[in-house]
Amino acid sequence: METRLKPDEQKVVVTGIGIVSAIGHHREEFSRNLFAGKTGIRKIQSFDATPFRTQTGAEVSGIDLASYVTHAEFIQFDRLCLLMIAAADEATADAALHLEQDGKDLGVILGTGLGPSSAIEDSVRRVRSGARLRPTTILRMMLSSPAAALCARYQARRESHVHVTACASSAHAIGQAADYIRSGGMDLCLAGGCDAFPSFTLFAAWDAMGIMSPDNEQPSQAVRPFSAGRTGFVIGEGAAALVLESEKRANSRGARIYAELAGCGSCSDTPSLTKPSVEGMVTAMSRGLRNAGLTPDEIGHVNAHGTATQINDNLETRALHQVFGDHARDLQISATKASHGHTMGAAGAVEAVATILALQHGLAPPTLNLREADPECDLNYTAGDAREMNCSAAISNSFAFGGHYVSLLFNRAPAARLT
Amino acid sequence: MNNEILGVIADYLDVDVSAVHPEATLEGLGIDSVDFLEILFEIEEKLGMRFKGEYKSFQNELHSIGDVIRLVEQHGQNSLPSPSVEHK
Repeated sequence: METRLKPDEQKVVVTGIGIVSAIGHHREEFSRNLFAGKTGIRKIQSFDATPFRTQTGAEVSGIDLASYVTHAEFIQFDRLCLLMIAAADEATADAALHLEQDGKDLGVILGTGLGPSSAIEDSVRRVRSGARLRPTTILRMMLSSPAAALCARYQARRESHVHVTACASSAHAIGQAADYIRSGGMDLCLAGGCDAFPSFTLFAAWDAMGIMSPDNEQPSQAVRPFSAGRTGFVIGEGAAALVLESEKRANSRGARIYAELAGCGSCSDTPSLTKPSVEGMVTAMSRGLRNAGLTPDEIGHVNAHGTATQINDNLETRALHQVFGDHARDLQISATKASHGHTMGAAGAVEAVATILALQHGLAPPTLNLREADPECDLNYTAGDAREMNCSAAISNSFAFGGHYVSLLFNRAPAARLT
Repeated sequence: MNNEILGVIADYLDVDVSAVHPEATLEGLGIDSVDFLEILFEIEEKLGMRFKGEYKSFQNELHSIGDVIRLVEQHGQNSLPSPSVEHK
């Protein structure tokens, strides 16, 4: 499948992947667990959640984040930076970058939604108790800290910024990086995003809104996208990074190519800060298709935003009908938040990885806990097990509070490029 | 207490404690102005004491590890409200 590019535009390809999530600390583990239908949703471990309506989450455990950094960095960085470093180290190694030479050309464009909430909460507690703050606290609190940390680590000097658009943050970051490369303004970029599990107070704020699943008895079944009687999402944490580069650059160094990042569509929508709209979803997907030069019937797989809230899943289904028409029924749709949780600002990047892996393996990840679909949700959501699919292009949706809508589109790489 | 101070500094710098001896200079150990502030903070946290005054006010009088040890001795071990646990 060929993206229809203008003569002066560069094709954007994915040459490295790194991920840390509740279902895997690296790409292969994430892939294995995602397709096997495992979930990382459990009773919350990082604080006592018994005061809350929702007591489950998808936390990352069993990874030694201290082993990635110096002692000074470990005590100075917020957890979201450490998660980002772990994912980015994997991605840069996976892409076989030579950072001592590549650093000068490397951009770092990330997204985060929640930011370093533990740093803020710890600081409030210390100031109130009369204790001194760590001198570098402000560096830990900066929302741009994950990008700053990666730039310092890799000597990345091309350009760096962090997008903050709630649950679309890292999808925006990936889309922006792709635009830069496509237009020739940049050749190589580490793009993705991160969010750590919320602090106690931030979690209380999410809990107060009542949109997380309160089904605490069986955490693995708490999130049921597109199903009848679904009760919302569960917050997760994680980080994911893609090494994006122009196809020309990737070819010149013989890099392995996972997929082509064919296009990105985005829009903002203002009727409500919290209520999504079909119009916003349709606009993002339609713009993405145009940007990629793809027609709706060329798309075979959708990684849905699929939050398992009543409203999102109904409206996303309607938007898919509107964009894809009769072809909507042929789409193999997956909602993977029931596996890795809703990773907030990292979600766009985590689900971009899931989408690329789905194309690579010709396999749609299962949508967990979907036994009886909501009558309003009448498409093929990959209930049960992972499903084989012959699909050459896919779309990953991220729709956020505040009316931020982003759709990323990927083309499968020719098989020869995956070895 | 001296060993504790040396241990805190060595941990912060990720170096063997043998490299952190009273004659070693801060400059020689590569301690910049931000490291200096962070090391004083780490000493307060780990030793449960508090320097009287702002860290910056000590910057011109501390040149070696021995100077840091003397500063801790001068300020003594004051008990403090217990610090919070940082989530990682």
